[in-house]
Amino acid sequence: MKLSLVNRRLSLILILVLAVVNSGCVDLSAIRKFAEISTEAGQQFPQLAKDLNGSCMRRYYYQKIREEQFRPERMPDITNPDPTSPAMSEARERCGKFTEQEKRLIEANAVMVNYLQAMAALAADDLTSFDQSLNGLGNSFTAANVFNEAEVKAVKNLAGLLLTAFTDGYRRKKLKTTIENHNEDVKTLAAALQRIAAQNYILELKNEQGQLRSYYIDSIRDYADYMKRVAAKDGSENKEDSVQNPLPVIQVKRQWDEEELDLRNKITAAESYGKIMQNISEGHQKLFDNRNKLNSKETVQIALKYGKAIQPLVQDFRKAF
Amino acid sequence: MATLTAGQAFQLALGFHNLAQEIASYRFEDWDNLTSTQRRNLERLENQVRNFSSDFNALSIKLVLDDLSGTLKNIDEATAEMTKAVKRIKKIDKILKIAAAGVTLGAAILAGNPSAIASAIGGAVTSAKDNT
Repeated sequence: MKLSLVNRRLSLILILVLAVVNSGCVDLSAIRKFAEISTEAGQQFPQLAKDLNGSCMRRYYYQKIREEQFRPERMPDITNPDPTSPAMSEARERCGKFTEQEKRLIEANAVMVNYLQAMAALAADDLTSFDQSLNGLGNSFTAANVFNEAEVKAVKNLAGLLLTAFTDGYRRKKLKTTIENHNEDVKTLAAALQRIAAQNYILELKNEQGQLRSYYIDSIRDYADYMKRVAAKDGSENKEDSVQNPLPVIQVKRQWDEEELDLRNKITAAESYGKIMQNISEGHQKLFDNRNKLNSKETVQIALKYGKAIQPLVQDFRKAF
Repeated sequence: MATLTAGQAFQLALGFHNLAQEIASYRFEDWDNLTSTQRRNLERLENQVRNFSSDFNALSIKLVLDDLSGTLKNIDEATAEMTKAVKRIKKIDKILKIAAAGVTLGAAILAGNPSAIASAIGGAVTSAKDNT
């Protein structure tokens, strides 16, 4: 009699819970995918932040080496100065303004990454998988002879449904509240990081590119002038040609091309990071627009679309750094 | 005196960059018409102008980051709330594990089986320790 009463009560509760759960089923996998890919992109950022100082220093080397007229005894001091030397102080003074902002920049990016990671964790499907623990609980009930096997199974399923309904509803509500309250903050931060990568960092790289070209053009022209003087002195000058001995220039050009390629890859990476931030901003806005139906098919498709758009951009980043 | 905005600092940086490019172009196009001294002076000028561009660029970054402090704090708080929510959900899993260990212990005590009791106590303690 006792067992039959328990069975009837369990069946009734099960029917009621199924009705609740089916109306609140949650698919947050797309949000998780979007957040995870965006996080990966953000994790590459510190190298970009460090390269602001790196670019400034490379530009400083090109300037100094020409100022010192390629004197070999001056080279170690310029490119590998002793930490306590006046040369190091001069280098730090030149590029210290970027070093000061590097830490703040990395921290700002970390705030975005941590936010996206927390969002991914909250949207994770395995977060609300209690199967293992419920199996353990079920085995304990069986071993303790509290219920028979069929009743243990019913209790386990019921507990699983109740927990899923509660936690999924709780997750959805938490994500909705977060997206609602912080959409503008996320967009502001994404816009700032986009601006720094796609404008400030790229301008610094373009300054470096200009400096690099001046370095090589000046040096090759100086060499050409020198060779003309040598040829004029020994009577071998060909007045119709501006380059008397092109072979060393070919080797130098190869080096120049490598450095130009390196810069182009970095510019592409910075542009890609800017687009990633734009995608994060737009993706988050779309989640905001659909915050009352986060598990709808439409929202899932939107989140997946932005996640997919970010993926190839991350590859550009890996190429440069 | 009014201070610069991040956007204004960047515009100045861009302006100085373009000026440096113009100086370089002039220097290379008129190479043969310039004396060696004139070329060196123009090279030095170009470097100085590029350095100004870089300095204003760094200032622009600083100003962008200065404006962000309130936003960063808000997002950090949101992250903390979501992390707390994840911990709350994970706690249910822990409670289930402790409950399973507790039921096993209760059953062993009811059965009066000393070795089963000892083993169940060990399991309950481990479960409680693992899940705090």
